[in-house]
Amino acid sequence: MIGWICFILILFGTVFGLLNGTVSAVAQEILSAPSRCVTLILEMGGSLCLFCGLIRVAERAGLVARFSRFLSRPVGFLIPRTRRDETARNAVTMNLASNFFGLGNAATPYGIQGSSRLFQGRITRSLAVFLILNTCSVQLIPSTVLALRQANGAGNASDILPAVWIVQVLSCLFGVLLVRFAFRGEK
Amino acid sequence: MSLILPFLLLFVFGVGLWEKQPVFADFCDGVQEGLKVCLKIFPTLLLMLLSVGVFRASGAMDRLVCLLEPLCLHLQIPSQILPLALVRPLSGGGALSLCQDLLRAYGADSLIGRIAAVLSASTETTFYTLGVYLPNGSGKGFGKFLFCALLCDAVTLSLCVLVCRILF
Repeated sequence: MIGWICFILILFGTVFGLLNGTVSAVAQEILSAPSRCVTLILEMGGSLCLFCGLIRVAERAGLVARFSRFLSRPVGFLIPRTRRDETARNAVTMNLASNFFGLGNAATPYGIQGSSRLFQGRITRSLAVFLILNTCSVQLIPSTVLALRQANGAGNASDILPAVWIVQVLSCLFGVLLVRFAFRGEK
Repeated sequence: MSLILPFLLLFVFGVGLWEKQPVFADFCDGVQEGLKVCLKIFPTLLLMLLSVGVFRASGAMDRLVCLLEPLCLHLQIPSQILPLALVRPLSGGGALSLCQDLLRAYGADSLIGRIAAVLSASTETTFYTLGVYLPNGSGKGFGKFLFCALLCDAVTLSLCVLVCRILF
């Protein structure tokens, strides 16, 4: 998939380069992009590592588990099937809490467990709400994006956070209302 | 705004110390993990940055943006954002490279740079997530759900533009 995307981009780039007479810029880009990539990784790496360290501390201090317990009530309301099924409730809340703290790797196994418990040979309303909460990203600190902004010389990389939070809350709200409506007959 | 990060640091470290955790060791452990992440994303990023870079350097990106212009005028979103918005649900690495490309071309503090950043931060790789969580890929209602998820992504895009226009 990603191989095809790259091939098509480079193909179009080369053809356009020939048509527009920008072939030399294209050739230059091929050699300068990898070295820019090294600089980018080095500049992003610092803040990325900082956030990874911080998240690890939060995880070990039990913040993720505590937040997951806090979520069980609202989750019970949004995803009714988790009220009776304790395994599903634990998997779903841990998945959402891990995503919230940016622990994508930890979230995946919980997500798979949770969605297989909610799956009933069809997509139930509970499962739809759970999945839409996963496809709308809910992340307190989007560390990669902040690191990217930092590497590109932003005045204050974290000043987009309020905008990110507003958008996340509104889009989740919309998503949940949408699937609750679309799957209203499929309890 | 500037208080968010210092407070977050103090809060997390404070809770860790309160819970009698080896905070320093945990932090170093996490940083190691971060280094591994950097190594892991480097190859993808290199090839994707190269492809997107070639696409922009040749003038093809500007041409594409021009083609998308009429559609975007209708939707009231800057046409430069649309390639990123279209790739975001499909490929995480591709979206990261396109976001970096926009930040480099227009500046991290420009409106377009900010919209690109907010969009990358508040959406997910929808198809990848569904592929992982619904491995059998089917089940009744899959098509309906996919439609909902993509509609939600489109609404998020317009929310990003709207919120950024108001706040910045």
